[in-house]
Amino acid sequence: MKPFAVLGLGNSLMGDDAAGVAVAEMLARDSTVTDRAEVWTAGADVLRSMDRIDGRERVILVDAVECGEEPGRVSVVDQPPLDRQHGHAHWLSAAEAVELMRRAMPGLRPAKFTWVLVHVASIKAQEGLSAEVAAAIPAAAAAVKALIP
Amino acid sequence: MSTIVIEHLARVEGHGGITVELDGDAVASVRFDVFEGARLLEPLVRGKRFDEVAPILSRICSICSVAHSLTSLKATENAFGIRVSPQTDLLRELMFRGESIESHALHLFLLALPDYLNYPSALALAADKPAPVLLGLRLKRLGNRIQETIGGRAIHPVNAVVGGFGKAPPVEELIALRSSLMQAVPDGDSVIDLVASLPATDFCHSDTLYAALRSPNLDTYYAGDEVMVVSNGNRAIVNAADYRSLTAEKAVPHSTAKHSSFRGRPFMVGSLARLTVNPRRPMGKLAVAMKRLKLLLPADNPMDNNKAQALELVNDVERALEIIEQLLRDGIKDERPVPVLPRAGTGAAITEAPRGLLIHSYTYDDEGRVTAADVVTPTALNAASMELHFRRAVEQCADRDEAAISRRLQMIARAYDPCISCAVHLVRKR
Repeated sequence: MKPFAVLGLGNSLMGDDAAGVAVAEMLARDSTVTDRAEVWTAGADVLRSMDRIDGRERVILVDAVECGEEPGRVSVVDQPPLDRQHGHAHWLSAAEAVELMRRAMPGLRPAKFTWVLVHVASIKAQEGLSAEVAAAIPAAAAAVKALIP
Repeated sequence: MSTIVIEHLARVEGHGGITVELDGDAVASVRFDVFEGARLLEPLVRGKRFDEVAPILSRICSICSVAHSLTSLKATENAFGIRVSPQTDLLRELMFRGESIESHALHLFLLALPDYLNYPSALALAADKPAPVLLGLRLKRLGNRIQETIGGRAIHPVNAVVGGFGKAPPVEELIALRSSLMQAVPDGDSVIDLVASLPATDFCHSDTLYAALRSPNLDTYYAGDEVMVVSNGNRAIVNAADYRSLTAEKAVPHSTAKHSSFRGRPFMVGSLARLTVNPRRPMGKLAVAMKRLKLLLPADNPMDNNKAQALELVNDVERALEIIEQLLRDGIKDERPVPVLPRAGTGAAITEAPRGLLIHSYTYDDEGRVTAADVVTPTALNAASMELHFRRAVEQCADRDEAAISRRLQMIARAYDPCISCAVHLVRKR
């Protein structure tokens, strides 16, 4: 098992929500990353990836975030706020789902989790990224690579 | 007059609330308020070709996308007079089992369990008691795996098509799935141990009418076209083509989900209804588990739906294993879907989604394009029954304590495992 896992989160049919997917697709083509890390697109349900992240040393999640910041800005954080407004009964928000797994799964307790967040202006039903977010994908990919020694 | 308002039901899918009006000690009214906006998915398929309908209507629900997809296919096949192969029937049943495992695990462990153990959420529960949450997550993942293996992906399956499957699952993937299911069998014992240990929820008793797919000789969520309605030993049978006599839907002012009744009485669908309608189904290990859970049928307590879900969860794992064994024993054939010859006509289908009866009905023109569509979901069927049980719970709360009533009503709502987002329909003004 490779020590690092990189998950690109998001829905490609929801415009800039697919920022994480685009970053993962870029990194999956980079052998300097895939030599050390397993990279995959995880859609919108992080819980489906529980088997694949169990036992990793470090889990890097790449996701879009809509919180009023300038679109295209990239930030790296250890713990995003638990956004309960966007979680619902059948689908926890990504942050809640990760927190749930960390609390419930012994194999995840030693793992370090890092979020690479791509700020977006809005998330709506459309294909393709906005120009600002598309331009930020290489920077977000570089931020992920910097976390993989 | 005093009013108890639960503005937003937590840990249920979609947006709904409950309003209770008390006139002194008398219960003046109890409403299940559904204010979720209409989804408009039925008009969306009008004019669409037969092969576009299931992929569109599976989008009604992400947790029940298999049930919507396969019920849609079954309705279309009924309209065109298509009979699918026994292998297709088995693979579809297996997909249903996967969805049921996922859905019941999510509901029991992440939504209902915190109520019983006095935690505000699954997150809070996981911090103190990780084992049951992990058990739920493990079973949910198993359900996802079944759907991925047979349907092509965990949500909105792409492999099930009109007339069969795009591609039969490879033998090695079925063998891997069998291995995962065998590892999960002991989890079934843990599920029953856990649910048997929960405190009693003895605050709502009511004579209840139950409706479920009739399957006297077969443990199935998918096969069959008859619904049996049961109450106090009285039974009635409704055929899929005549489903409107079962649903008798009507719009009510406080809900964007219509209310259903059979011969003037609300009825309950879901796990408890399935066990009640098909009482011979629990055999062997399941019968023992039923005794451990102290579940007596017919039940008069809607909270017993949680126990019924636990039993089904155990049974679903074992039934999925049986189906895979049968597929491997018979040999997986590389079948092509049955060719489709569109014709004008109507087809209706009824199946058992995790939350209960699901009905799809379409009318096609002679080119195979939809001219009319109707989808009735389990939560819409349950809405009137939920309201009735809310009323009974208030009536049976002797001291009319507001906090107790509020907590009990929310627990009953969650025991129904409602998916409000799926239940809302467009109400046409006349």
